[in-house]
Amino acid sequence: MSKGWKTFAIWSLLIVLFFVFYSLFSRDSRPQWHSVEAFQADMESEQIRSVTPENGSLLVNTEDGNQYRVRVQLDAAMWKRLTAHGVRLQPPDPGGKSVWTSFLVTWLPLLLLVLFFLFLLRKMGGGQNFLAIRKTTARLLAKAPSVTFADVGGLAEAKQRLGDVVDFLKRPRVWEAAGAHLPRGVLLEGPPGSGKTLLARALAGEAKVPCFEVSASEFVELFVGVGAARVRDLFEQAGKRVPAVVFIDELDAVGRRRGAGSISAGHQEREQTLNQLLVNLDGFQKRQGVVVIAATNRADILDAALLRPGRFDVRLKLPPLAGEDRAQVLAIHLEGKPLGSVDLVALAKETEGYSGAEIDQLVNEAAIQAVRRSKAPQAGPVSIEAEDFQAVLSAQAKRRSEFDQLDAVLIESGSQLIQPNGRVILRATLEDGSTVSGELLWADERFLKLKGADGSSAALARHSIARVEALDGTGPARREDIREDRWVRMVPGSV
Amino acid sequence: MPFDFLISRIASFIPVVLALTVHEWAHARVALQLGDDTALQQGRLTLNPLAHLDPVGTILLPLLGVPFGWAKPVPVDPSRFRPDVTMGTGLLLTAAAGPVSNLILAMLSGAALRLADGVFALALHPAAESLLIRFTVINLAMALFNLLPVPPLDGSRIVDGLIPFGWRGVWNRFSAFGVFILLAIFVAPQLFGSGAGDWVGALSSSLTGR
Repeated sequence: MSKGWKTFAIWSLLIVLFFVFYSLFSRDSRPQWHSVEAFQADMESEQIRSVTPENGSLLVNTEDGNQYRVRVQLDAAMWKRLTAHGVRLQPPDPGGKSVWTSFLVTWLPLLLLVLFFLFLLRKMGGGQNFLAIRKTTARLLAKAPSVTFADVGGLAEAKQRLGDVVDFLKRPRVWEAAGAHLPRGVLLEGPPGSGKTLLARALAGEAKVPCFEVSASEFVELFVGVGAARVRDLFEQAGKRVPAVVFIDELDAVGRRRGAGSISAGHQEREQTLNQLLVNLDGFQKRQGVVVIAATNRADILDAALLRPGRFDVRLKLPPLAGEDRAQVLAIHLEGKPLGSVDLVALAKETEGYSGAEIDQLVNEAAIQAVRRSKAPQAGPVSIEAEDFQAVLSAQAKRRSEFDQLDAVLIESGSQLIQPNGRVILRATLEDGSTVSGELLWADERFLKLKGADGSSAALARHSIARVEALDGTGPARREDIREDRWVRMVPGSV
Repeated sequence: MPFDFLISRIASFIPVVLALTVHEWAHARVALQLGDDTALQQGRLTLNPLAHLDPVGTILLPLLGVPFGWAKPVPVDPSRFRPDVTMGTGLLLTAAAGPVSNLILAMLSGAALRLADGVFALALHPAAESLLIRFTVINLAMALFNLLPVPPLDGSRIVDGLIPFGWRGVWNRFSAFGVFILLAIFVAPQLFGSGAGDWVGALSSSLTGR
């Protein structure tokens, strides 16, 4: 009911508005209609000064300054009669229709309309104009990145090899005189967080040359050919600013071995991009002074053509950080932070296996811990102490060991695929103290799925699990219990 | 002059909103009749103009004087039609409902004017008279325009339903250019002049009798 009232109210409001507008503004400046008889009477009594022909009617100006309209065709006979009574013919008043107004009324709306359609079309085209899509998405870092090799801890060998490249970029003459040519490409391999991107930036910063940074995944687009066009554009741009460094991150996104997997448009695009990249790395056109640095953590899946000498002819494996390297990295990350008395060497020993990124995170968490600690009464100014590191390390160790324990449970039980001793019953204690127990249905790197005794199932994120105990079904798997993968058994036809 | 221009825009804007509202409501109503309650669920089965207004298409463009506009389209889900209505027929009827409702409105307001003139010999308030005339003209124009068989318009949906199977390919290729054809329909009269306005005027005066 109220809805109907609202509708009714709005309709009435609109209609009233129309009336208001009408009576306020269109207090018709247009003259009244008079009858033909009245007009003729006026004409006979010489009351008419002039007439203006309109579309099928006349606009009449009387001697006393009034105006009215009358439905009379201005033909020859009428014209004769009018002139006989001394009526002048007045041409239609342009009505102040300046160029601007006529533009405003006719052309502006049209222009708006066309603009609007263009806008609509652009929106349909994905907001990108078709030519811009072929441009590289690489970002040109500020003239030279401010990072230098001094900001890279450890990795002595890699720094030395790259130092040669830097020297090459700085003094090409010396090297050319010795008959050495500039390495065309440097491939940095290493696990996530080992400092590949940092090294590349440091190289550009050290050599003080512009650095183009792009992720290989940005090449590949929906349309076949776009990736290749972008590669061409990237090298064109870099070629205009020699000497320059081009850094391609996550090279495996396009550099995957060709010819593997199914044939689909996605592969075509990727392969074409890769081919273009190969050509630009080592084509007929010699590149002068553009060094390509690529980073990947999956060097094993790269196409063989990428790795041959003349393309990425320097391959640097970034090793896990050694003890003194970690101390260096710690020192770099702690620079400028309020550090208490912490033995960095001892701390480096405790962080065996930590990558650069993990050390960064460790330092950050320790700093957070220090701030937290400083909130306590009679705490001094914030400073990062050994106990902060210890707190973070032990928390991390706890998390790790529980993951390991969890993995042990899963491995022991042969996971859900092998099911050696029937069902696996787990009890998981979550971070918030609650427990969930049930049959393990499924597990991957991030989630566990448990089915409770009451038939309900729960998916648990591993990171929310504090502890896992196996209640049943995790006796050591015997060889004969490991039959076959039950998914394999489900292949149609084999059942 | 620009001020007068704005006033005349607002004055013709109100009947446009009313006509658009009825148009969209008719789509929703027929869809419901055929079993699809999508529009009802989304609150579009109402004569409340606010439910159908599109900020750009119904308000901004007409006020700027663009001879073009649209309301929010009423969603239709052909898979929800009653079992005894095929999807094609259902879509056709739903699409036709909008222009037909405008035609009916034009006839009604025309008839109201004729009645006032002829039977009751009433002298209508000039504003009421103006509103009825504008309403007739706009409804007629809206109906005829929407019946154009150019893709985003209702007329194209009617063609969709009626076209023989063999012609589908040609029609689909034509449909791809719909937006451009629509643009041409708007631009061409501005450039070369057209009789469309006169036809609508003649038709509406035959309805209203003035």
